[in-house]
Amino acid sequence: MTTTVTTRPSPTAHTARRLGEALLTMAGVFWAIAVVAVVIATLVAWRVAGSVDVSIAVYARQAAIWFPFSLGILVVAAYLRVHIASGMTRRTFVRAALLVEVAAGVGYAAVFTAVALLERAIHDALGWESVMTEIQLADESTSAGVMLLELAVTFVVANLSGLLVGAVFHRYGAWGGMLSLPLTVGPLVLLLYIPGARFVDLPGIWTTTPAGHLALAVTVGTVLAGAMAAVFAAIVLRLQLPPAP
Amino acid sequence: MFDGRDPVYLQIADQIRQDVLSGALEAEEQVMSTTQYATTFRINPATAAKAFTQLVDEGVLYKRRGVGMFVAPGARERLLAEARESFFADTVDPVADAAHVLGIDIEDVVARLRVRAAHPPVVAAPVDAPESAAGGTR
Amino acid sequence: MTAATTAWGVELQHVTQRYGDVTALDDVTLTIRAGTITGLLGRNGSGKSTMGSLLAAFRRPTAGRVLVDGEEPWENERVVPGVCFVRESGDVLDDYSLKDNLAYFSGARPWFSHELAGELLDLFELDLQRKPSKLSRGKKSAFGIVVGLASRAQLTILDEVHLGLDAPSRYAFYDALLADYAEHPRTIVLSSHLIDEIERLLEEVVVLDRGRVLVTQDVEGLRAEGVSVTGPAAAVADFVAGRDVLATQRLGGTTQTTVRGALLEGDVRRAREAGLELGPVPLQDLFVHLTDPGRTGGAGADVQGADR
Repeated sequence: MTTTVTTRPSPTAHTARRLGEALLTMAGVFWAIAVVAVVIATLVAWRVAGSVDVSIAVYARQAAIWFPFSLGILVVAAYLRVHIASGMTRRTFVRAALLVEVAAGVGYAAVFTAVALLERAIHDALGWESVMTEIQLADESTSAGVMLLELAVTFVVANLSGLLVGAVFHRYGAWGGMLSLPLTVGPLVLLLYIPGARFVDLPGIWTTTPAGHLALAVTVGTVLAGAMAAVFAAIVLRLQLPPAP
Repeated sequence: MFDGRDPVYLQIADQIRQDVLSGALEAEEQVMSTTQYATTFRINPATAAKAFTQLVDEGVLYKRRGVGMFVAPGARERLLAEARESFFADTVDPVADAAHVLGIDIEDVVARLRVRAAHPPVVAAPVDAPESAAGGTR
Repeated sequence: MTAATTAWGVELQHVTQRYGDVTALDDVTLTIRAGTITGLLGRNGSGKSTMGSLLAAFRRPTAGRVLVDGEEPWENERVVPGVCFVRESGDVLDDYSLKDNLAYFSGARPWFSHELAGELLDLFELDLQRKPSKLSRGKKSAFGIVVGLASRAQLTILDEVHLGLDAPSRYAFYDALLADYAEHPRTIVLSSHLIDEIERLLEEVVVLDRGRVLVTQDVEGLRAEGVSVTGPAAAVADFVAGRDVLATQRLGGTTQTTVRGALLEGDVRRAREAGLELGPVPLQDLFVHLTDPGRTGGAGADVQGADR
């Protein structure tokens, strides 16, 4: 009697693919709605004000931060227990989740930048300006590269923050999760307002130039991302599944 | 099936011995596999395997690797001989002892046995009877 | 990934598992022989589910070592894909269809059989398009069985997977289990309260009681140790003197006493001469007697079980 063996993908690849597909579907839904919303808002503003001199697309930034953040929480809530029960290690889950969420953050940033630039091109063609009223480093003259970089760092931190919150809730339950929100979400909020530093006089030469601000944001963001990934991994690698309800 | 009080593997072994004795299983005939026993009677295949091991030790079955368990040539004769052995010890001796205890003359017992043998009740054909040409089973 | 050709054995060495101040397993040492169908029996709270959790690396023991195929399963990339613990709650993706669930599991289990999964889905009449959250208790259990058997894990632990299944479905499950086990031998640990039904499926049995091991033995041996002695009260009392008495029933002048212990040839003759009737004891009854709190009450007062 023989036991046929299915060639199976590595657990990390299998999980990353599964999570990736789920997030991709959600991203499709999100951006479809976002683009439609931006178009409708633009048309309405045009009707009302005669011309649209602000970037509407940039208002999607908050949504593009908090929606993936909540998906990060869901990824842990829905998949971690089943992952372990399916005979895979926590290690592979951590790798796959981090891989996918970082990729998602960069992906959202790329799409966002593309949408913003497209909008800018359309406004230019119509003779409008594209003032960005959201507090962030990019403004109407910012290059695509700067916008992409700043958004990528922000979105990746948001995604990792979601994973971390999900892991904390899984491990420490509802109370522990909520009480630790300042620690798990706080850094993300902090990051969002670093760009505001350019409106305030902060000591140090690096805060006085746009490049300096960008460098500060990217550095802080990267450090935060690394720290969150490390804490997320530490929690998950030690996670013991609760007894069946 | 196999609901008796003895361990299941003993019941299976008994059943196979009976089948060999009665001719239901002939020499070199294949016995059901442990898998077939398991799925037919809803028992653990190891239970059937245990019965087979015992029967192999007794020389009733032998194993053909990769094929299955077969009735050993001469198994029936061997079982018959054993049954005959124990017949005298387990059945005849107690009769003689009982007759002695009851004060019955042993010659009366012998006469009775002769009468009975001359007019046997309708039962299954004696084990020794040559197989009829038409009645060869399997 | 190479096919595993040798079955996986299990060893627990002085394993203790505590949840806060509740001790679910108390210094448990036992072995489960590779390639057998072993019954894991015990009352609610005896520690059976905890043991499953430890074997599947859902948790680490508070103390002691758990060994699956000679290694500790915790975060063990070689061992963990070969251990499948199907528990009552069902660890499946609740908001995805059964089809998606199976696609997920088949990618994670090296020995997964789509053919077997298909047969079992038909057998239990499960609709691939439905989601586990929308299934009845019985269908959920059935899906657990599909996953547990089709995964063909070298160590498969099925914990009360029959809940909600009607009798015909249960028997279909037993048949499917035996058939696949015969074709693809592996180590199967079966936990069930319906001991009468599963008795003949088992080769060996482990009985847990309040976190401690009461029995680890082959089923035939354990069964052989149970004897019911029926007859006149005095004769029975005389016969069972000095033996391990499990239970006694009286009806008028007749007593039926269940004892545990092997009977010698001389004992059988003695019983016959005393006019006593000896009978077998079903495993279910043996289990009830052995785990009777009145009998095992001597175990430490503060050792409490938790069905975890």
